Amino acid sequence: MRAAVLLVLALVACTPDIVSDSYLCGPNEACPDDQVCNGPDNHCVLPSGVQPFACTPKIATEPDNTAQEAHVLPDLGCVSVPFIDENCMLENDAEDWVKLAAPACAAVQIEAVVTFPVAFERIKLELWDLDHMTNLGEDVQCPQVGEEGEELRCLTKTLVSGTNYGIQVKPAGDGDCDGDCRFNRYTLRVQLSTP
Amino acid sequence: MRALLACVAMLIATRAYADDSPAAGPTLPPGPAAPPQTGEPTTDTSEPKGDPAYGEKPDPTYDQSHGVPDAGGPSVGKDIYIKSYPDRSKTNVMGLAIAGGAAVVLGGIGLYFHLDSRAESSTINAHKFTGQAWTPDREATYDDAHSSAVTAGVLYGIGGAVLLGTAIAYMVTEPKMETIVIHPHRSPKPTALLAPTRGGAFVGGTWSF
Repeated sequence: MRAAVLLVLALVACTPDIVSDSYLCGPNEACPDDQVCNGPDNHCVLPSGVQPFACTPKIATEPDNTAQEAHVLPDLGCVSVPFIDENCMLENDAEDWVKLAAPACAAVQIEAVVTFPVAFERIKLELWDLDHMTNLGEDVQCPQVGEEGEELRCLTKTLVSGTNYGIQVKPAGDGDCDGDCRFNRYTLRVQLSTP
Repeated sequence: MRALLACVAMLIATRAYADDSPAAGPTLPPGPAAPPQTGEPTTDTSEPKGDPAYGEKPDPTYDQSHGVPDAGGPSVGKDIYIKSYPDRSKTNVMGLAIAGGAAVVLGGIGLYFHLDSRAESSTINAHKFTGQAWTPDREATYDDAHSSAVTAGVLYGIGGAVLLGTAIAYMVTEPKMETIVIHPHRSPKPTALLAPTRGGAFVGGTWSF
C-alpha cells in the first residue's frame, strides 16, 4: 500500500501541472489535456466552464458580404492614422468588405493589417479594384510579430488616385479545427501613407 | 625375612588393584578375560594390549560413537543442541544479487525519466494566467513530460515488483535451520586412581571442572 502511494506521488510529482485559464488557446483550439478552448476569450479552461464562441463587433458593419455592401471607410487623407475595425467572422459569414476611394495625392499607398487569434480559423486579406473588380493582391507575412496567441497578416499596395478600392476580409480556409471552429474575431487596421 | 615381607606386600598390592579395577571408571573398562591370578606375577610376552587409561589404543569394547561405556562405566552428560543456519549457496546469492541489482537499475532509470519529466514539466507548469498560447512546441513538451512520467512510473513499478520479488525470494530461499547435537562425556565423580607400575605404583585421579 505504501509503495502504491509512493508510486502515485512520484507520478503526480512529475506530471505537468497546469491550472485552468493559464494559457491562451493555440491553433485549432489547442489546449492542454483535460482543458478546452473557451469561445469568448480563447483561454484554455476546464470543460465545465467552457462557453461557446461569441463576438460582438465594435462597429455594426453587416451586411458587408459583397463589394457592393462594403462598409465605407472615412476619408483618411494622404497620410492617416490607422482606421481600426474590430469585427467578427461568424460561422455563416463568408466574407466582410470595406472600401475607400484613393485620395488625390502625388503618391499614396494603403497599409492594411489584420490581427486575429490563432485559436480559430485563420483570416486573410485581399485588395480589390472595385472599378474593375480585379484582385490586386493579397496579404503576406508581416515583418513584425504580434502578441502571444495572435497572428498578423499585412497588405501594402500603392494606390491610384481617384480609384475605388475594396478590402476583402475572409477565411483563409485553414485553422478551423476541421470545420469545428469556422469563426474568429479580428481587428483590421487600415491607413494611408506615402510610399 | 625382609624378602618374604616384600613379597607379601607386593601380593597384597596386586590383589587390591585387581579388586578396585571395575570402579576405576573409563580407564578400566571390561576387557578380555584377565589372566588368572595365581598370586604370583606372570610374565606376558604377547603384544601389550591397549590401556584406555593411558590413551595408548582404543579399546574395541568401548563405544566410540556415543561415548557410552558398557554398563558399569561412566555416565553420559546431557546432550548439547546447537542451532545454526548454513550459508546460502553461491547460486542463490548470485540470483538474489542479480535480481536486486536489476531492481536498483530499473529504479535508477525510472528516476532518470522522473527527473527528465520534472524538468520538462517545470517549463510549462502554470498556476495562473501566463498570457502565452498553447503552441505545438508546448504541446510537444507536455507530451514528452507526460511520456517520461509514465515511463518513470512503469519503471518504478517494475523495479518495485522485482525488489519485492527479491525480498520474498530472499526469505523463501533462506536455508533451513540445522540442529547439531553434541553428546558430551561427563566425567565420573572424582575418583582416586592407584595403579602398579614396574618398580612402583601410579597414583592419580579423575575429576571434572
